[in-house]
Amino acid sequence: MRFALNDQYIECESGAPDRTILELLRADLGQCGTKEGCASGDCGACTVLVSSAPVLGPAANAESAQNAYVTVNACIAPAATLEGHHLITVEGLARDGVLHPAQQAMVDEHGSQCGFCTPGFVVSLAGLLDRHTGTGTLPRETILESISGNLCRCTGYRPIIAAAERMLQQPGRHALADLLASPATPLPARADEPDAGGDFHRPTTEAALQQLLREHPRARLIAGGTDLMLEHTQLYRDLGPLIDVRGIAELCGVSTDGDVWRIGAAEPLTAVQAFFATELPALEALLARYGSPQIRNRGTLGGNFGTGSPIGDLPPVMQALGAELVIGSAAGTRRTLAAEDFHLDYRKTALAPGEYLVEARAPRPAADDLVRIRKFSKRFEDDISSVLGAACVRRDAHADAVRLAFGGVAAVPVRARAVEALLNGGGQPADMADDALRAALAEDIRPIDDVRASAAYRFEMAFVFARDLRDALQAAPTEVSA
Amino acid sequence: MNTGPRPPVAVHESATLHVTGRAIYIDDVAPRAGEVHIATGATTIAAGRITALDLDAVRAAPGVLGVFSSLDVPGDADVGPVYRGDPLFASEEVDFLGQPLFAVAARSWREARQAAALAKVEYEARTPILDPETAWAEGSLVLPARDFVLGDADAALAAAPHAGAFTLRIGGQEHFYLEGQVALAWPTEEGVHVLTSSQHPGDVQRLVARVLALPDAAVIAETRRMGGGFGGKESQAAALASIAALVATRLNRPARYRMARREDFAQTGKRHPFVHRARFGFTDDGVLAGLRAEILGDCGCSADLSEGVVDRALFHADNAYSLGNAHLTGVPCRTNKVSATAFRGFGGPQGALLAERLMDDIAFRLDLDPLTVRRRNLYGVTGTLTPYGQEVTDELQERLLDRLVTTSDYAARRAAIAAFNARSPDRCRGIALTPVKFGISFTTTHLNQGGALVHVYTDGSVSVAHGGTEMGQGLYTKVRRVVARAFGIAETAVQCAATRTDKVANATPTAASAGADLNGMAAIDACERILEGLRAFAAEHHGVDADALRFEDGWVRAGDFAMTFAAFVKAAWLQRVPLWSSGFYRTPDIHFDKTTRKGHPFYYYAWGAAVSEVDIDRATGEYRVSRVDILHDVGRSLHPGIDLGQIEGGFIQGMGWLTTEDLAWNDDGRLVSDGPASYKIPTAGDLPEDFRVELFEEDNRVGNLLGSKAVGEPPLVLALSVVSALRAALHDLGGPGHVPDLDLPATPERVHGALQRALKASS
Repeated sequence: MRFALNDQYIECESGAPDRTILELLRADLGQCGTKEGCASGDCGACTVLVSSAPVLGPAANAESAQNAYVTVNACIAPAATLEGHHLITVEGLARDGVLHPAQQAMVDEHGSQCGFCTPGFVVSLAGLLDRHTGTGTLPRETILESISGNLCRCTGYRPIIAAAERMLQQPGRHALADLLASPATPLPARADEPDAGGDFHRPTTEAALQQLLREHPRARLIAGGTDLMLEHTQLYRDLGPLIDVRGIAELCGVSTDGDVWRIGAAEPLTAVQAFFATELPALEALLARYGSPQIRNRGTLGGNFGTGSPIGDLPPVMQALGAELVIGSAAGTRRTLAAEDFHLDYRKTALAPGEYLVEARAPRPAADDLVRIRKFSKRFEDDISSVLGAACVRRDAHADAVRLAFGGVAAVPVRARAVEALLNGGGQPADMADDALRAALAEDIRPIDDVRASAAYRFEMAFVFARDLRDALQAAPTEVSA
Repeated sequence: MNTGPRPPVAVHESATLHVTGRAIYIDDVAPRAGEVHIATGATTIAAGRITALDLDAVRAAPGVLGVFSSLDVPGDADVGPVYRGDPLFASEEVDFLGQPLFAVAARSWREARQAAALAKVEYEARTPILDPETAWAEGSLVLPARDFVLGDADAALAAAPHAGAFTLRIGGQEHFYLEGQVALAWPTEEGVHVLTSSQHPGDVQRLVARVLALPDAAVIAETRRMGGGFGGKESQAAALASIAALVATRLNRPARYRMARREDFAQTGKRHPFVHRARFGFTDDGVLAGLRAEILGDCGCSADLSEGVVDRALFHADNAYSLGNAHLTGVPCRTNKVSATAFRGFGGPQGALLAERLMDDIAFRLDLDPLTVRRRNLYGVTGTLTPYGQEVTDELQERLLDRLVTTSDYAARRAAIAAFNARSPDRCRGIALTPVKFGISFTTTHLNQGGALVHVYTDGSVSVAHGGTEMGQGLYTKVRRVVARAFGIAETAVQCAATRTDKVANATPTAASAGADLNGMAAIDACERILEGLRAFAAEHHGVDADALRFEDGWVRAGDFAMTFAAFVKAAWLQRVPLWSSGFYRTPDIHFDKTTRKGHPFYYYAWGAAVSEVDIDRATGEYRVSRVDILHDVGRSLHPGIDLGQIEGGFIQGMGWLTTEDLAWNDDGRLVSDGPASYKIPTAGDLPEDFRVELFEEDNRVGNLLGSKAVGEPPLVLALSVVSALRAALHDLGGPGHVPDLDLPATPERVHGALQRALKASS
């Protein structure tokens, strides 16, 4: 494979398809500044920056200075995804003996104690500066978000936040793309021929994907890999051939298509989050708490559904919005499926062998429709939901005005149909009293005790969500009476 | 050199290395030829007997070079640091789920782990004991219970006008040092050299030697830096180092043992969970009259360091308050869980929770401001004698509290919160001030010794080694500062050498917050010995008054005499003056009798106080710590930047322990919160929005290191204010006389339960 590392071009073996960027850096390239803290994408010690567009090969972005750099957890990202791209690690940030502003600010503010998480923080901050160079200051929330995927056990974070503020005030140009302006190594020979990739396949069209699925029926699909790669790093399984769907245009993008939102199954959630900032702030707010920036830069809606997990945050939202999923297949067929019909049982989905998710299509609510989303978790940021509640109330609907769904309360994400019936029934407020609501909810959900919450607390949180929804409806009854 | 202006030195000695990725941790050390990687196979039951262990498939797995169990240990296979009970490998009895059974060495880290999973093990399982209350009831202890007695508690309880009782359950805590446990060993001519991520290389050396049946002198243990320790690498590093050394010497190859994060969670010790059961009596004024308490420490399966931990819980069950008549019983309970170990505070924070619970309960029962009750019970107000016989004669605590009450605007905010709670239907708030009194010194008196080795080279550069280890707390930076000041040279002219057992022998652990005190004082001693020779040299060869000689700004001056430090030491060397020396320090004035449980175990106390405010969602129990004000006593700060970092970091770490860090074992004894996906330490978003931290700087009146005080552990206790603030809010909601129960950590779920009880009480 060929890629750029800091100010150098690199040509090396990518190894097994599930070999990670971190394994490549530390074991093969001797670049040990990037640390392993958890190997599960939770601590950010391995954070690196990867160009969103290639800098090598046929698709290379001629204007590399325009390239965007996103933070990635190197511990769970396959090395083969680097092909043609520009990887920036903590070792590359200081130039000619001068520390990068993120580094200097961390030194000046006592931002490091044991130093083990520090490279990850420095890289996250360098990414922040690259996206906001010259702004001088940023809202505290923006700074916090930029480091919300990095854990520090020593400092308590205050000096790291101070370092971010100091860094942003530094004058001058600190574009990451400049690292390649005068590379320390020449462009590799045959730099514009794409590497075949061995058992790591990178189709760029749906037709190519279908052909690969026919040729390699046992190959697994990978998008962000933020869940799948845990089999490699936590269970020590060898994943075998992988097909990366992130380069397939038909599976990417997020847009409004008439009255429908279209969310590409392989679009990074960071882009989905940005899209919904204006379209549906409640969903943007949820995505801001979905994993971490590093996870959202890789993770996708397709993966959130495809793992079949009962605790994914997007399935209940899609159910509440009444979304349908578009499914393609190796044979070239397409079908659509209601979001609530996708999960069959614990970690079991409706996808048949050779099938893949193309996109979700969600009817766009009207401006005065009511959408509520609430995530309950032990820790506010970067935590898996104990309960995720999502509801959509459509003012112009004749039936099913209220759609309510939960994650984390059953073996699969579920529609709360008994509660919906109660709220849709148009009965008197007394019919929807707390006891009736509880009884209906008890028909809908079967929470369990686990490490995140007890069954009883889960039930109570689902109830709080349903009760708040009821109260909102009763406060504005016209919204459902139409 | 040494002629220019003093460079800015307000940074950690490794800061530039940290931020550039050039700081080398053990797993960053390049592999040597032939190096093998180690994994262990572990038990899958928590209690019982191993009836069959078939390792054939492990041996036959790809890449495997050797498999080792207890039968392969040439020496003593027990690595218990104080008492026996920590076998390197389970051989017959199973003590906990995740206990190592064997080690496998393979070409790669992954192959070692893939192979380890292939073992076939059969067991005869027993029902495990998983909580300290059951253990105490069944007499399952790692060591005998012990009592601290002051006055006549039973008589005082009987006579007191008011009485109360509670049971408080407190969770453990995973250290979550970002650098997991790791060791790298290679054979040497004499024995073995081990790089160990350890707070106690001296013990690693001793235990590796014992495991391998070698003399201590044949083993070198070395620690340059740890990626965090927090107590988790005080005793726990020895097992990894011993296994790595065993494999290295058996295979005659370098051997690296780096635990995966989940292995680290399952196989290494954590903070002790505790259960406090207390009965207490108090006066109409809210003064504690009598206390009878059982303090049950969940020590896990072995003694490890638990004697000291349970003792320190007893030593701190008073926190900052005179207990009057008290009978405290500390119980080191044995459960079938990984052996609990040192964690910043070493039982002290758990003990102090008892005192703070008492203060709040008395205030709630009398409907007084808890701060009023706290002040009435402070040492110096109602008494000065601790249950362990030491008099508390400090007088700074009231001044410290006064200042914090003023700067935090406590009274006005408390009134505003009461008004807010009275009108808010969906949120409730609470505010609380809790003080800290933390005893400084190892309670095991002989550990209070430090050693250092200072080398001055003929170019004027200096190297300092000492017995302390660097885990991020800034010890090396502080010792470097002390040495630079002694010679009047720039801090950057002083190199911090890695801590090695062949430089300073028999060093005690870097723990008990005593690292800077012990090693800094030893370094000063070494510098003084060198300076003594230099002064004599100056008098003899330059005719200056030795007492007038000043070392400052890189120069040596006396009257008209002036030489650069470099030229001066070179000249001294030419006259055969020694430029290096060892140094030693033993803490004075401390003693403790383990049979009577009386004495003067602490050289001094570190004080502090915090005011925390919380804002709770009444429907869900979710809450934010919205503002925290801290005033903390560091004596005359050796390094304000580092001390501030210790205070802030200690508070947030303590807050994590008490709020979101929820260790959970299932009924089989399996730790189910076994990684960062399910075990949640604070993120940047958990930092209180308004966080005000100040140093309370006054000279340490016992002298100590340049007037400073220890700062590693005490600030963790500041976080108890968060618990008291939550309980204040719950008390407000429940109404007069409501005494909220709140077990810890106070997850949203537990707060939700307490909210339901408070609402029920108020209706």
